[in-house]
Amino acid sequence: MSLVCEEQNFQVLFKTHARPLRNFLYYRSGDLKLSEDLCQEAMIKLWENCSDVVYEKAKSFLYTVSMRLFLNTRRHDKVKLRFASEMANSLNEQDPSYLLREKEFGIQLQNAISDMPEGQREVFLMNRIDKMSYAEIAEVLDLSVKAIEKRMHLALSFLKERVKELKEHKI
Amino acid sequence: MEDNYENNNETLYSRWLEGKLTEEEKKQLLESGDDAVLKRIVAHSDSWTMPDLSEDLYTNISEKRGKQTRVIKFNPFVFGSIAAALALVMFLSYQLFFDQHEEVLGSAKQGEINHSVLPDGNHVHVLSNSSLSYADDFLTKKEVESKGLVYFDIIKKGPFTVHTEIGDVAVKGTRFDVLNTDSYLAITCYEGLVECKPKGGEAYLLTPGKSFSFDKIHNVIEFDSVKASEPEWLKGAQSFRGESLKAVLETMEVQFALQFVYQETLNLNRNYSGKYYLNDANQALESVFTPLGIKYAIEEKDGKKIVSLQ
Repeated sequence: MSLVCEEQNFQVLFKTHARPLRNFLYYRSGDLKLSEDLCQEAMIKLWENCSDVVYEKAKSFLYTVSMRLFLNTRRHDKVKLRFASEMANSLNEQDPSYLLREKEFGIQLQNAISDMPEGQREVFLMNRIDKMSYAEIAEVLDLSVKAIEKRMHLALSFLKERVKELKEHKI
Repeated sequence: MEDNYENNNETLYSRWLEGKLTEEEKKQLLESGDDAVLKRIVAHSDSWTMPDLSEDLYTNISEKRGKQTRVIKFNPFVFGSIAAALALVMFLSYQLFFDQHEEVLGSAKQGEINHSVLPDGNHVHVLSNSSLSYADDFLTKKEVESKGLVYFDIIKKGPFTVHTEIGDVAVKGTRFDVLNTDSYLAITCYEGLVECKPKGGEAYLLTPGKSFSFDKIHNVIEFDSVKASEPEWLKGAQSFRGESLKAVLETMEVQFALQFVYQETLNLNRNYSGKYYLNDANQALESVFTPLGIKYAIEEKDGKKIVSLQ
């Protein structure tokens, strides 16, 4: 049996989960500093309870605890998410107007993400940015895989509608 | 009809992402132009990145863990105890840095046990001629030094309960005793989890019912099992079941404040099974050495009993 209390195991849990956990908290809060603080606090809570948390359950423990900490510390403010994009690097297109359009599209998409209901937003971003499978997301959010699939569908629908509105404005 | 259509479509785009659409659905998406829009959205969102974690995040966690760690220093080896309560990690080490300190002294009366409560509410039981001391900053540092035989009952710091889908998790405490001389350390865990680490050596975890002993002179580490839920010596008696003479002598030295003197030829690996009571050193010596056929002589020197074995 792996023990969370063992330094080596705790470090593995940190290396595996701290970053996606911090990201998840950012998708919720839109506040990077707060996300890191909450992530840090959740890891410490895990250590404090290390002999009561089964190693395999450490991941859900981290998400549950950090969610609770987040709900305790903050109202649901309107978030504004921003991501660095590697889009320009992946485009071979030389046409400057095309590049500009893509850049503008990316900004509008990030705005749309920020306006999206948080339940859909975090599922979408965990899947796209952290490459978590629907099953993994279901595990940490304590939801069924079906529920995750529905949220993913709603997220894409939401974005698609917003993009269509943009097209009417010729972006 | 409308409802059914909606239900089938509740996961349409997530299945599209996974490439799990029917041929009919694929065709519809392509024809409506949605396929191209969705691809563009996904291409963009997949290009987004999050910054690396702050470099000092793990350091901060380690520091906070350190602060909330209960550290207990013992003579003369390093060892620790980890329990559920806010990281009940106890480290014992040779050095003792503090000058000002409180002391919990065992009674001078042979076999008597002094039950004390530490400033943080945790309980200790100190046998006669043993002692426990801690500095003024005990509440922040959680360090104590023990000598002889001491039983620790570390209660939870909680209350803290974590609700999970499979049940509630409550914080528990840990209970263990530590017996030590200048060259010998024996720890038995009765509840929770205890980590023992001889200086410069590997760490060993003790689960309830397991004991650990370390003979510094011969560099021998032994593990054993006990069935009791608390140490028998708390009730004024001591039993051995097939224990090595070495362990018996070390235990008696601590329990009766004795010092044994013997020839190197004495076989310390002989096994002893038996029981004695802590209130009478002479009777205890007799009940151990008579069955083993070992003759002994007692002399007093500087208030300490020296027992020579032949």
